[in-house]
Amino acid sequence: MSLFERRGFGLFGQIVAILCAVVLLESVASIFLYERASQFSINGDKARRLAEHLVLSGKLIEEAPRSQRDTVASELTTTRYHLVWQERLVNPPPVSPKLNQITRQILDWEPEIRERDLRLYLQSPGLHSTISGAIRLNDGSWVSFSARDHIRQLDLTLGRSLQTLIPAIALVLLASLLIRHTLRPLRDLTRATETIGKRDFTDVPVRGPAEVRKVISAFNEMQHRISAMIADRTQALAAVGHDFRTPLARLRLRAESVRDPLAGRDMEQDIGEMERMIDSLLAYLSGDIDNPTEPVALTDVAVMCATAVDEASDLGHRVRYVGPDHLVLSVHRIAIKRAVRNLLGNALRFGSEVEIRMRNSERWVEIEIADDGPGIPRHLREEAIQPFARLDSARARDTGGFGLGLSIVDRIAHIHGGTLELGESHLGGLAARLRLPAA
Amino acid sequence: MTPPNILMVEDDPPIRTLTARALQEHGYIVRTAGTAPQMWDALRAAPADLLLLDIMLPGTSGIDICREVRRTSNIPIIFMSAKGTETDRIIGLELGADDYLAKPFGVREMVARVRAVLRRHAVERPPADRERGIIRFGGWTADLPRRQLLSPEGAAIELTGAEFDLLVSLCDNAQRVIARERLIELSRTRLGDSSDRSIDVLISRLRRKLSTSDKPAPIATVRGIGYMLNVPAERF
Repeated sequence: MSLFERRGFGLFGQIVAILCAVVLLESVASIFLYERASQFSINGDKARRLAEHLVLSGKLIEEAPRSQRDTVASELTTTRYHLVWQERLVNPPPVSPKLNQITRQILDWEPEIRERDLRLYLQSPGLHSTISGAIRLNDGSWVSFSARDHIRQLDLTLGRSLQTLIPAIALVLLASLLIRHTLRPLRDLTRATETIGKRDFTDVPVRGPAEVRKVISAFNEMQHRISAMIADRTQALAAVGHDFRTPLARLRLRAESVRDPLAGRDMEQDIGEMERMIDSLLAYLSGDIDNPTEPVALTDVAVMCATAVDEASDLGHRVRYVGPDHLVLSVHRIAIKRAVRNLLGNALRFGSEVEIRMRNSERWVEIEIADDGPGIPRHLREEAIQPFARLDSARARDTGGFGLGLSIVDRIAHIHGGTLELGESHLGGLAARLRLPAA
Repeated sequence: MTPPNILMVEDDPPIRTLTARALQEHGYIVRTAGTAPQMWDALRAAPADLLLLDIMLPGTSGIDICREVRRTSNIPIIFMSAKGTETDRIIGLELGADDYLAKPFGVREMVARVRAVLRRHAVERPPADRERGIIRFGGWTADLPRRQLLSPEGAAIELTGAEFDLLVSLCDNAQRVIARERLIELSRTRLGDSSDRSIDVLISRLRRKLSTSDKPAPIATVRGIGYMLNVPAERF
């Protein structure tokens, strides 16, 4: 078992493997222990006895007068060997393979028989085969014989093995299918476990064996509890966010009456930062990002980018737009606007020079927001997109926000069937690439 | 000339006090109310030149008050709301408010907006129309409350505040040349983004954003004088 676990076999694989092992062992045991052993050990012995019997019978029948030979032959017939005296050789039935190997064995043992022109055949080969044959007497007549009980030892080993194996293989196949079917609910459960938290909570259908059904029910209940818990927390957090706004509004008004203009400006900046944090938190917590209430509408995203750049440049930033004048896509306009602004806001915060580039191919429209800031090291990019990500690097210091911006953009890209990718920019800093499917 | 008389409806006492004080410092006469009934009482006692209205009020909401006031009066209204969402702003403006202040706002921004709204009311008649209705020109549609422009093919074209205001000024004087000086003046009476971009820069941006694959933007330069929207504009 531990071997299976280490190799990473599934439960299904393990059960099938055990089944195979057991069935194979059984087949092999029966083939080797019984068939082969008996054939090898008894064969020599049997050949000797057959040889002796033939020599003796040949001599006795020869000595008897012709008229009596039939009687002698039948007297010599035992339970094992059946003997018949014949005037001339009767040809064997058509499908009677010669048993050359055994003939040779007998001749080796009893060289006397060499003069008697021994012939051995396997008659009606298959399940009920017998060794039959004939020897010539001195006067040219023949004694033919058949051995009754050597069937088992002489059956061909390969055929026999196959016959044993075919039902075994069929059984293993059938069992595999049944096991697979039994384990299917478990697979569904596994899949649900893997995606938990990534998507909406959906119940796994309760079916399968009793134990599995119990596990699935327990899992579904757990999902409900988690979902309810998240909803509660989200609501509480959103309420807190809302409640912060009123004191913040007062604070902003008070800040303007501060006599020291420098202190006033700093306070103003802090208040602005808090505001942005609350905004991003509320945006993240409201289901609006994943399920926008706003319908998709034709939107000129090229103009949207150009306008975002114009506004930033009116505020004194070094920022430019490179791309087509017009590019119309069907999108959730406010969501995409939020995404572009978030990315542009980030770029302006970390860089002194920013460029928005738009490219479009047949399948994608790519909006790249590039800056000349410190960038994000490759190994942290994945993490940077996670909600509440705080990168412990130059980029993370004095950032305003909860680390929700990129996560919000990623989700907006996602609901549009697009992606968000972070990479290096030609300006030396970070390039955030928002790809949306072309119309 | 008596200073403008402002009535503010706001349920949070500290904000009420702070805002009122700030406005008074800027020379306005301010009365305050915490609820809708108090506001009606105040309005009965003396008329106001401008209404500053919080959306989230206990009992009757600011939106309901606005609807009620608009039935009888053309008094300028500025909404204040902590929600800060686009829908709030649109609902307010569609109901006939003149402007919208998202909380938290600074004194400078508030005073600037109050001043702009009051000036507009004094300068333009009928005053409330400035922010209402739809303008159609050459296949384009400008939705004033939403501050949204739709291209002839129906795509949303996003403009900066200053660009949108300039476009509306051009539309209001469609097929007439407006001197640059007049355009600058018009843009000063309004408070778009705090942009001091020259009119020429704004015009060139507008031209790029309003061009289509088969037609240039419908804005003509009249050398040495000013600019003109060279298609007819209709207001709805």
